[in-house]
Amino acid sequence: MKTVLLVEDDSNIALAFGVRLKSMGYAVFTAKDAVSALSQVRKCNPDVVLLDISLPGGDGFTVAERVRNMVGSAATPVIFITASKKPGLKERALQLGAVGFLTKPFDATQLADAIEMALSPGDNWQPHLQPAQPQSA
Amino acid sequence: MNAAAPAQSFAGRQALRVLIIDDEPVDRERCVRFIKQIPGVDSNVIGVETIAEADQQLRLGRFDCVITDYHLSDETGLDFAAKHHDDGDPPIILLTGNGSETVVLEALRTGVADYLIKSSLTANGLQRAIQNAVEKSDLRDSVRARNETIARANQTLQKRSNEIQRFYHTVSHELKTPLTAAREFISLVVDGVAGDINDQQREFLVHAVDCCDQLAMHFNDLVETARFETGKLQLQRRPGRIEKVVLRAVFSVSAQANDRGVTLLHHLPPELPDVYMDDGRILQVVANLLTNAIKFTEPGGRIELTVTRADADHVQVSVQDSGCGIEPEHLDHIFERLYQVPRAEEHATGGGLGLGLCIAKEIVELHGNRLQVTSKRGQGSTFYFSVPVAHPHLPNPEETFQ
Repeated sequence: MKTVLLVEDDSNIALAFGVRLKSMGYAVFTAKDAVSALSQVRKCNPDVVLLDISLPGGDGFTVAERVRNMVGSAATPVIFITASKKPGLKERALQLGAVGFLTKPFDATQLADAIEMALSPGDNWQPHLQPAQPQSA
Repeated sequence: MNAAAPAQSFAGRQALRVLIIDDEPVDRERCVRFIKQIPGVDSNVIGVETIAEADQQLRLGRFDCVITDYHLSDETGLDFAAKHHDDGDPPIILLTGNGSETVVLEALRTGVADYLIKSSLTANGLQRAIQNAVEKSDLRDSVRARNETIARANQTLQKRSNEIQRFYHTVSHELKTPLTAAREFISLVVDGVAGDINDQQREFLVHAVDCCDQLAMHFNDLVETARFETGKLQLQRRPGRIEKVVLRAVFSVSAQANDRGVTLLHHLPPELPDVYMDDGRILQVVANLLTNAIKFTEPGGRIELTVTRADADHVQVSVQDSGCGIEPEHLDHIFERLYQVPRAEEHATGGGLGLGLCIAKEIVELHGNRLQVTSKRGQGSTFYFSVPVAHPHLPNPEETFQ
């Protein structure tokens, strides 16, 4: 069973998508801030990290940087989550080797695609951007 | 008794402070005398022999004007002028022995206010030169002060604009996070993750999800409007298929058209070239035009979306409805931000924030074209725009990040 660490300070997002990820068959761990995110990475050694960019106690970018420098976790795929459409965030995420980028509001399908992509071999960058676009059939 | 004489002044001042740099005592004294003779002003003249002393004087106090000889023992009058031509420095008048062309040209280039030839110096000539120089310098000062005021005001506006942009971001962030969670909780139930639900429950919840999507779209409109206003929207253009985008837009509004009882048709020619566009943005434009068309078309009406090759370089997309049409007095305003055309049937606005068309127009313009409309009252409206054909040799800087 693949393990997902969901780092998100909004408890409703964490709960809703936590339930969703479990229903998809993942083992889910959560963290609410930068510090506990790092200790969770050490403890549960996740297969993929979903990382909100705005976090209390240091932003998601800082967390990703620290994860990159951790022994044994340097290659852990990271998917960033943000509600902001500020220019430059995606670029920064790419620099940090992110394998996905989800902009709120995103849905379960986009989340599932992003995780699948992250867990598949090769590191194809696929930004899951959805400016409230309708899904094509 | 005579009426009181008007208060006299010279170049707008009651007191005049002049520095004279000349190592010839006779010449210097003559200048001092000429200046003392200026009527209506209290003159304070200081004479020095060298540039070094002059520099010292300028450090100590303010002067309205400096008069300097060209030939001096330590440096030339031009060297002095070159050092003192910043904002706030007094105007400088150069005295030359013979008015050699090289010196005069150099003097004007250095920014001296005026030059006078020593051999033909008169009280009148000197006074006039001082007056002109001082008045010109005052004028420059006041222009500079005004420019500074404008620059400050501009800065304030820029700051305000950034604050508004930040505010939009915060609002949007604060709204989107709970919305994302709400949508997901509903979706979990719809998908049966929380147990079985009946068909009607599912139908209602699907509507709730649609509502969430609508809200999300409105938030995006808000943030995007702020971004247009501050010029921060950037397109991610690359060659793409307009058919794909158009069909996605049609798909996204087909339920809406059905609900309203409006027929939605699309016509796509068999062979279309790739166009150079931000597909997400063009999708937004087409979806917006279709949504508007549905909103303003009566049940039983008809909407036709047509794509044509306009010319060698453009593909045109048009959305024609059989709706109520737009009154001429609204036609000029419909692309304005926050403008809403009243809906005739119920004298209420068509809903929405009044941002959609304005955003659509901006997006089309960022693609180098115009969003246009023709409409006749009672005979429907046609909105149309072009997208440039992608030429394979065009550089495509945005592609690197996709």
